[in-house]
Amino acid sequence: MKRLKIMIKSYKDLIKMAYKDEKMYFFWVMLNFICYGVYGYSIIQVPRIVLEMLESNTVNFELLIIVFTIIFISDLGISLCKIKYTPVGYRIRYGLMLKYNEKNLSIPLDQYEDPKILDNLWNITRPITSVNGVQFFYLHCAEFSGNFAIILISIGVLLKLNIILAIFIFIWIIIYTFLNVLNSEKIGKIKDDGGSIYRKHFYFKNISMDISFAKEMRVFRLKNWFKIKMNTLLDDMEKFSKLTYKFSAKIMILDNIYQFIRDSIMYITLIILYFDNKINLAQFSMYSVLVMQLNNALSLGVNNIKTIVNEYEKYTKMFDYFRIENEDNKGLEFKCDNDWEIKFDNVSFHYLGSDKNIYENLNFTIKKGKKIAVIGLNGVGKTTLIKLLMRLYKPTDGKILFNGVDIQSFKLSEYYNLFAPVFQEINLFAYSVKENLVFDQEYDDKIAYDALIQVGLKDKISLDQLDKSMTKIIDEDGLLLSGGESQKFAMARAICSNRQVLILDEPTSALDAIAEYDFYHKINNDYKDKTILFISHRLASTSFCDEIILVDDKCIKEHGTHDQLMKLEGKYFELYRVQSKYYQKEES
Amino acid sequence: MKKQLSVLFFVLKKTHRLAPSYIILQCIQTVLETSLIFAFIYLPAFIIEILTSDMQVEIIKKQVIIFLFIILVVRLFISIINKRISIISEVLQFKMIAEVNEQLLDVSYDKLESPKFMDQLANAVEPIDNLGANTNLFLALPKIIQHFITIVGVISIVYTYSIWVVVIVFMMSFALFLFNKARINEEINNAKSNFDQHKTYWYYLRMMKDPSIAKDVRLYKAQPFLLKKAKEYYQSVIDSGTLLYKNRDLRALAGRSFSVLVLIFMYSYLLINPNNVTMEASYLILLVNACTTLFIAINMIQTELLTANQSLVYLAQYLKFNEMVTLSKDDGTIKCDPEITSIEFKDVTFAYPDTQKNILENFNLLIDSKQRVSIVGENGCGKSTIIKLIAKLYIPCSGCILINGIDLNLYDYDSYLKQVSIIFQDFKIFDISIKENITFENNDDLKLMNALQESDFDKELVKFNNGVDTFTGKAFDDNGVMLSKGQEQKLAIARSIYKNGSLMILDEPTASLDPMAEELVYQHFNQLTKDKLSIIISHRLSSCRMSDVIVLIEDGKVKQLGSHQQLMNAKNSYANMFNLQASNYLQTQE
Repeated sequence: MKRLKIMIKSYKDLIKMAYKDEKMYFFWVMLNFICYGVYGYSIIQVPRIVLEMLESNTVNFELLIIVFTIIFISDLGISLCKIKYTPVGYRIRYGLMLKYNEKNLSIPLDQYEDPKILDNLWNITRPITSVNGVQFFYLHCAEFSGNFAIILISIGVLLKLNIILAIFIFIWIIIYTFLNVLNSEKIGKIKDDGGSIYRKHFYFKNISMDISFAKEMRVFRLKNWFKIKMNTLLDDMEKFSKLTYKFSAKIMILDNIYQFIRDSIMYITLIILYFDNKINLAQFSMYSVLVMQLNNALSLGVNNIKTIVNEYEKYTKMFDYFRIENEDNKGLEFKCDNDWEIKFDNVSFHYLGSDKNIYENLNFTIKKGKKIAVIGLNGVGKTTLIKLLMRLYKPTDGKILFNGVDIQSFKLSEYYNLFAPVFQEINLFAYSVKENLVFDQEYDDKIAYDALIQVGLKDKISLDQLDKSMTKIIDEDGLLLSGGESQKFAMARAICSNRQVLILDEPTSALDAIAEYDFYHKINNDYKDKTILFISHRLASTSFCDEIILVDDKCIKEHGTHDQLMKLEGKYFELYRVQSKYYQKEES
Repeated sequence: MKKQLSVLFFVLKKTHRLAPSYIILQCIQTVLETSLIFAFIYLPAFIIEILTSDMQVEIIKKQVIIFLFIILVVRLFISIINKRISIISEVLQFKMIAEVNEQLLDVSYDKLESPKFMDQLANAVEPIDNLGANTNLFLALPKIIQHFITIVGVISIVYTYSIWVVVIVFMMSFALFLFNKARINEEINNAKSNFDQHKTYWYYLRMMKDPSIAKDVRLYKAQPFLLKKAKEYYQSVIDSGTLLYKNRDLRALAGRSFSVLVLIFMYSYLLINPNNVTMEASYLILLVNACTTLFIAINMIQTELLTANQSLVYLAQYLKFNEMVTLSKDDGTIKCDPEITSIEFKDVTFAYPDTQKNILENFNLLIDSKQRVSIVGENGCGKSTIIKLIAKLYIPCSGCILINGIDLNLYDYDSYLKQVSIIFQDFKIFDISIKENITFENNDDLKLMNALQESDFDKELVKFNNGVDTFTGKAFDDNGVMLSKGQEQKLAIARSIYKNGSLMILDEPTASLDPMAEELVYQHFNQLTKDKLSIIISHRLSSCRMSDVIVLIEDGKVKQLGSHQQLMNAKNSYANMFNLQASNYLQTQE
């Protein structure tokens, strides 16, 4: 019962969607139904008419012309409908792909990163990644209307001939369809169980083609290992294939036996009726054409139904994802006064789908214009901290206050305007250089280029290259940057955004000593008015900072200037000593 | 045509090798299916004939059932053979791809970086993987044979009645052929002219799906821009797709309408011809049936030939790729000594393929005896390039690299690489078990324990439920663990220790590690490089304190070379760099 409910809900969503964007679809489906009905009825009349004419030795041209015209026109109608309804599912599917991506970019980050969603993106997109989803749903619904019309007409004609036979066929069809749907569900389940084999295969296939794995594959001579892995997978695949096809072969064999029984019963009935003189030879041939037509429509129709109900749950997952609300942009107007502070007030946080706290009762304040370093061991949650600050995550407990007002209450897009982040993983898009810096903002070329000069990319990119495409994905002559250069470029992007707070997550991890030194001096000297928060493992950088925050054990363990923390002789002192000892002169 | 045949021959040969029974099963299947077609031509005529004969009802019933039963038996055979064919064909496709994957591992590294080669690879794999070219070919080939037999058989039936009927059916088929050809040409031109646009569109779509862009996109409010960019190409993609469907349906429309016309023509012809008045009803039905089947067969054989041809065009790329791969092997024969004691760069000049700028120019460097060597220099000075050259991932444009005094190119690559352990800057951890990540195919528990201890990874191991059998990543096991950067680094080190090469290379081993983890790597460094020739690259000059020799590279040449103390005393580039980095630490000590 619950399954039926899910099924109906999914189909309601699908039909609603077509009603919204493709109203004509329903018209073409209806017309298809009518045309098939007319066609199916008239085509079986032809052998009867012809034989009757032969028997009576008179040719009724008028009747022939009428019948043939009807057949020809209804046939054209069928084809026309097909031309019209086939691309509907295609268009809706492609529209959904775009909508899906829009959703990816618009829902709150914590929900997007929820493992329940992120690990399941594959499942969510299943109805749109292959034709055998949304697209086939609309196609097969439309096709079914035609086959259904033929089945109805056939039963109708049989009803006139022999009620018992008609009722028999009717009941047969219902049982037959039901059995088929059940079986196709079973096959779907078997296939689901084997899904992991294909996932593994996909993984191995990709690492052999992925250049970032190529060095390991070669240097560690992994060819043989790869071959063994691949062959095991292929064997598993064959075993699994055998299992599915064994089952579907069984169904096919049963299907043939069913058809044999059905045909025998129908032909025998016809023969008996013929010898009882209930029908003549002409009618007999009409009914035997009808039997063939019915058989054909039945197998096509059942196939349509199988496709339509095929894994209907997958639609639910997709629509549920679409129903997640976007980052809302309501709330108070965000005004950034001359003087401000952001205060973490007893903030606790854990990820969605996990109950392990990353932070417990976190308290600290960021004041305008300060340069703050966030220090801590790998995996302690430094990046999470800046994500909380930027409202990419919501605290599970406690509040973050901007001048005393909860940051959650501001208009999100205006609050975002406060921050210019450079994250650890740098994303350069296959757009032009300028678009990568400012996206589609109106922006003066010179000022944009100035940012590139500031970060030290002057030699790499010239002013007239602002329109050049980046990466080689779309343009073979595109601009390719190394790791260090990418880091600099991301910094330029942050500068261009001209926002008050720079947030830098390990900004110098790929920079050489000189570039690193320049970087910190620039930060110290050129961005006096900016508030800067950065995460770094290089404790040398902290000497530029007004404040140092040491994160450990779910909260801030130490907070103060470099000198204060050194005097404390705590964790910071220890870290600093470990790293600096190699630079001390006396030790050599 | 000749080219198509050679591709066909190649694919058949390959198929026969990968799945020996496949082709013979297809042949049997074809014969059975063709016999079914003829059974259905005869069935209505047969029933009417026995009805109009003087046979008894019971016998007639019996005969009809026997006829139906024979059809059933043939169909059962088809089901069984079909099962075998489906299994084989499903796995066959994967086998073909797997073979390409394995071949790829022999392809030289620089080829993988060339867009041209990767395009060729995509062109070879895509048709088999996603377009089903191979599957389609093997669906089309038996159908072509089947239709061909049908055409010949039906003509021999109809021929006895009237040759003109055959001629007219053929003429109608030809008209249909001309119509279809125009449609197909339109499709091909359309696909060609929009190829670049579509490539861009799919790239944009894939990009938007990538979770790693999520943060940037939100903070910099790039959503509208990203969508706008994709939408620029959306309409063109939709239009092409719609055109494709429209064309296909138009072809179907033409096919349907023409077959109705054939039906109309046949009935009219039979009725108008006065001779037919005396004709048996069953014969008339047979003729109509036969002619409709004939028309459908002629029509279908065209489509199948087109499909086969299209598949062969795609698979030609697969053949081309195979030829490319078999050509690309070059390997020496000298077995490498069990110990690497010297590396020498002699006048090496190197630029990356398809680029102008020389990364190394007349580069000379000799490292002998088992020293610890640090290579330092600014971003982009060619440090990592040197490592790629030593690993023979690239070959110098001129000059040579001597290992133990012998040109690297003369070595048997396998035996040489056995002696080399490298941890690359962007090393990769596979989504397999921890144990396998370290040992790969040759598992030795004792060595494994040792590697785990020395890399300090055993401390991490206790956090996982399944110990060394825990999976990393989620591709293979939903309970797989996601390792932190620091843990991954330790795992990579364990892998290197396990391999135990006599040449040890570390490229930026501590870039993303916190000070404690960095210190740990340094502490292990001595152990790791004991009795070995070792090279370490790092931006953190602290690592140089442990090295015997430091090599400073600038402008593609060795600028300075010597011990830390020597270079500090020289008060040159190295000393400047070191002091610069140290100043931040020393400042506050004063």
